[in-house]
Amino acid sequence: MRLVKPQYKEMTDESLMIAISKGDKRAFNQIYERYSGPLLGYFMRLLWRDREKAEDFVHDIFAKIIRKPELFDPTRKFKTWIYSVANNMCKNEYKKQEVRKNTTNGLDHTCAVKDHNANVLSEVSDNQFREEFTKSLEDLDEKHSEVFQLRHIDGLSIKEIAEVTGISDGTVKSRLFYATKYLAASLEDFNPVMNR
Amino acid sequence: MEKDLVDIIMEKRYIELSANEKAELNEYCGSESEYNQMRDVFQGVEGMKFETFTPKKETKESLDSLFDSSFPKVAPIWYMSVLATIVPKEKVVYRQPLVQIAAIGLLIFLAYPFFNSDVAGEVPQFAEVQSPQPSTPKVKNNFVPEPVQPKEVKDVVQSEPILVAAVDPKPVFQAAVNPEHSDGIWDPSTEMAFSQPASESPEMLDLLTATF
Repeated sequence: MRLVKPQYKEMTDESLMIAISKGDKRAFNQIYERYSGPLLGYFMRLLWRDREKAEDFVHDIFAKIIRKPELFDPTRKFKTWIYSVANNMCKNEYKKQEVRKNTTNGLDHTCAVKDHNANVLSEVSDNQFREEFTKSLEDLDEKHSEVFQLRHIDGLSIKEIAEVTGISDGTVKSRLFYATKYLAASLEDFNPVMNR
Repeated sequence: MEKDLVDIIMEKRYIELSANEKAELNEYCGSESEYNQMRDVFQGVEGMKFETFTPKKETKESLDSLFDSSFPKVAPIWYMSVLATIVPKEKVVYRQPLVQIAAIGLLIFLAYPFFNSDVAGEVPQFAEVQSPQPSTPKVKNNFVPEPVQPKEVKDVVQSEPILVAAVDPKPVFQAAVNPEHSDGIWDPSTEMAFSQPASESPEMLDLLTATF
């Protein structure tokens, strides 16, 4: 029998997952607290800023953790694993959207949402640099933007990004530096350091 | 998180780079100006505060109910096994061991007073009033008592009665009551108070008894 209560805040993600597989709800709450926000932001970015859809995806990904915690391999890093699951969910959604686009009226779904994105971002941010940066990031093609965001917004290392996206370290580096050069060129008028 | 190229760029200036780091970075940024441009972007992005999102309460509530249904709270195994043995659900109530044990216990509790009380073998104990026996024996009617020679009966009271004053060599009359020493008899000659409980001198006790 355990005499001392485990300190959930100090536990690693991997040990929390082991506890979840044994039905420890506090461990689940801790994992949810750590990852629900970042994952929601990730889904928002990848799913055309559709908040409702992103919420559903957050629910689904945590439901997977509850229903099948054994899917997680404790030898792997949880952060990498959860982001790769999220990445796959988004890819599946893209495929669904592609099918829908071909079978419906042919309206460009992303175009409509892009306008919405611009509104949301302009509401949230009053910083000119931020707006310019966000626009530049959106102008970037998806694969470069994704790597850049995973590195700088989600805080994943190059190796972790490689694992999540299923590409090599070298490809991640080249995409990351390409994206950085692109952003540097488009934000030439701004000095990012001064705008912090 | 282990340090990668991005961390190196953000932490070091171009002149601080080691030969290995320069070689590794050469593929992505060949010149110092290119390096500094990247450094500015990385530092600028790192300094930006991105939107933080919080999922809706409904999402968490739904997940909580899912968790509760997936991992129902179960009692410990030992408890379950003991409970399954003494209260098996498949048996009717009166055949369950716990109920049977309780019934036996109740029977023992109710029957105990009957078995424990020894009614037949017990000798009745009544309160008995003992009448004082006469000192002279009863005389039969046809019995003619022989003349009894008077014996010399020793006086119960000795010829020389032992008085406290007699026992005590010091005469009583010499004693006086000292108001300061109310207990006992005060002897002014010796300046001492004498006292003796009556129980220690039976002669005195007899005298007192005869008096009353």
